[in-house]
Amino acid sequence: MLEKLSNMPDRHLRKALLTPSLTMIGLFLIIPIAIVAVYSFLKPGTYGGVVWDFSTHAYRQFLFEEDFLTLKLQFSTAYLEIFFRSFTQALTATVLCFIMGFPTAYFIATRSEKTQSLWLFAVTIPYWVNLLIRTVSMLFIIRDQGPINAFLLNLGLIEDPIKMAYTPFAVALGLFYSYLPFMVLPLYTALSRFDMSLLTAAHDLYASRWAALRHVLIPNVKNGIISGCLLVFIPSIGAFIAPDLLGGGKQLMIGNLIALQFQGSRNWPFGAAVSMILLTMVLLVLIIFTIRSKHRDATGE
Amino acid sequence: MATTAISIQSVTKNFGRFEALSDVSFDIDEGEFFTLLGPSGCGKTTLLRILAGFEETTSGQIQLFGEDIAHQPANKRPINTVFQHYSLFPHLNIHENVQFGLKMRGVNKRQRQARADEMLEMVQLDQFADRKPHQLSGGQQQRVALARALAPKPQLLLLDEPLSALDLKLRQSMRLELKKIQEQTGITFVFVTHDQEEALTMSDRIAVISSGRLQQIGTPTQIYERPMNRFVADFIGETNFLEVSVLEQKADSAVVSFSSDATDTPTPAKTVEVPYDHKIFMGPKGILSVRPERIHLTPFNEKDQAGFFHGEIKQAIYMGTDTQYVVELTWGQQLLTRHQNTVATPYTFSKKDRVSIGFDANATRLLRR
Repeated sequence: MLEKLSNMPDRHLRKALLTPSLTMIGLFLIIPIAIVAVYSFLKPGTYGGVVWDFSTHAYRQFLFEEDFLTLKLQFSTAYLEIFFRSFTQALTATVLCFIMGFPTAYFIATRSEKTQSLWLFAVTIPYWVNLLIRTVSMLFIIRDQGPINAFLLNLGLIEDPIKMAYTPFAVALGLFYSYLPFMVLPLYTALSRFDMSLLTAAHDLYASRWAALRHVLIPNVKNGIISGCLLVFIPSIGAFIAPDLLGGGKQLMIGNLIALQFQGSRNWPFGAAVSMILLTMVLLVLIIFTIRSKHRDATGE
Repeated sequence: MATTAISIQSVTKNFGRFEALSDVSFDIDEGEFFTLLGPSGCGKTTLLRILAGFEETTSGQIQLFGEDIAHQPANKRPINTVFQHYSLFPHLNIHENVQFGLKMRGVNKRQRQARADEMLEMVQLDQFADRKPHQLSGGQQQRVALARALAPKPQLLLLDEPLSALDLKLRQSMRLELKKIQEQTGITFVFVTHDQEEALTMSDRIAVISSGRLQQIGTPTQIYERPMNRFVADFIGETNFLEVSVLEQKADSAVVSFSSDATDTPTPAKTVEVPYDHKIFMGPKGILSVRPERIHLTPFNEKDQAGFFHGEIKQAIYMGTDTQYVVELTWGQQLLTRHQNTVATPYTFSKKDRVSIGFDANATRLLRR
């Protein structure tokens, strides 16, 4: 088999090697998205499912509310608020991840080569435990009767437990904790490629520590920062478990809204439409980043 | 008397229990091309890093034009460095790289651009201003590093083995260019190298360092002609060591006999009076350093016995401008000699020829063993 591969011309070899992954992407990514796209333009069935009847109602429902009596459409911000909340929560989580992840990645990248892999290994340890379990245990730690509040109460530092569970803060914390390694790993990759002697050179040329960070380190690991942020931001915006458990269902995010349409509300087209809107938003973010970095490269040369 | 640019006063640096520099003191004059020369690991780079502010001294003082800078951070010192591996900023183009120091000092855009133009013109890279560092060759990158370090007009420029990564031809032309730029700008250069040829050709003065200690400081001629100890004589250029006994000390010369020639009784021809200008000791503790090019060979003649001793040619290596002979003396020691190949060369020898070995006593150096 290997012999056969090595004898193949380059072009055919590439095709042969790509086929399995392309098949997987086609079967489990393109086709499902196509189904979701089609469903979003259909009418809901009474007990779930869809009625094969073209309609843009699902998209209109996102922005407008149907008055019960007059059946007239009125502009409503209810779903936009959910989108906005998802956006801010994901952004908070991304910023938190960056603030915590950058020093972590810097620390690992500046260790000796042998210990680096050990530290990286440590970063991935939480992934041995299921996300659901990790999120639930986090809830136990931050709830009113949890160890943090118990500790503070016993010390007499506070009189009433600090409300942490079921708040936007809890959701952001949960997202931050879930996706931190996605920030650390690309940052580590960029930082380990960075030539630390450039900081010495900057220091020699009158740059303070802060100026060296801003003018030399950050611009050189920019790509790592962008990929880390995207890798945290994108799954955060559609996250489901953290907002559901830590937000107690009160902090509805897009992921929960979509899940609700397919479970409780039995409004599949609306769920599909919200999914498509989310997908479009994420794509827009990606496209903007790509264009901007390409533009910068072009002007930089 | 020239102004002292930098004064290093009993600087010691320890890394844990390892003493990298041990009580080093010397002054460098303004406008000097000063070289720190020594084998790798001798402490010369540590001293450079201390001057730059990347390392703190364990003890001792450093004064830059009279001002104590031993505890000033690197970014506050008016001292810039040309790094061994250039360390150009890969995200900035050449022009921006050269501007960096001035930008950090808050010089306005127009002024720093004008200065960068001027610097790039000096190193003849003005047409590459918009390129990124990786688009330049090693020699060009080196010149950008030089322009970048000179742009803020430092009071002292440090150069950390800047030529070691270049190939031989480029290294030689860069030597001349560096020297020219140093003279043009009048900035004091402190140059670190392990290459004695580089040190000899470029420096006004050289400090030879070994095992964290200053061995000798002086002009290239002084260092080469009058080494203070065996290490310096051996490290700078090539030399032969002949073991001698000091028989008599005079005001500025000493009578020595070649003690290794134990089988022969010392005859008047085998004692020689050599000059000295530093501390020596009586007895069989002396060593005579004789440079290969200072030895002259004549065909061996039983009758007149010219020269101090005789031997047999073991190797004759033709090297273009000169020929190198390895001569084995009667007691087995091998001497290296070198003779310029001029039209007037009186003798050429080949392997197994017997030769008499002579040298001018004034061209030797008496040292402690």
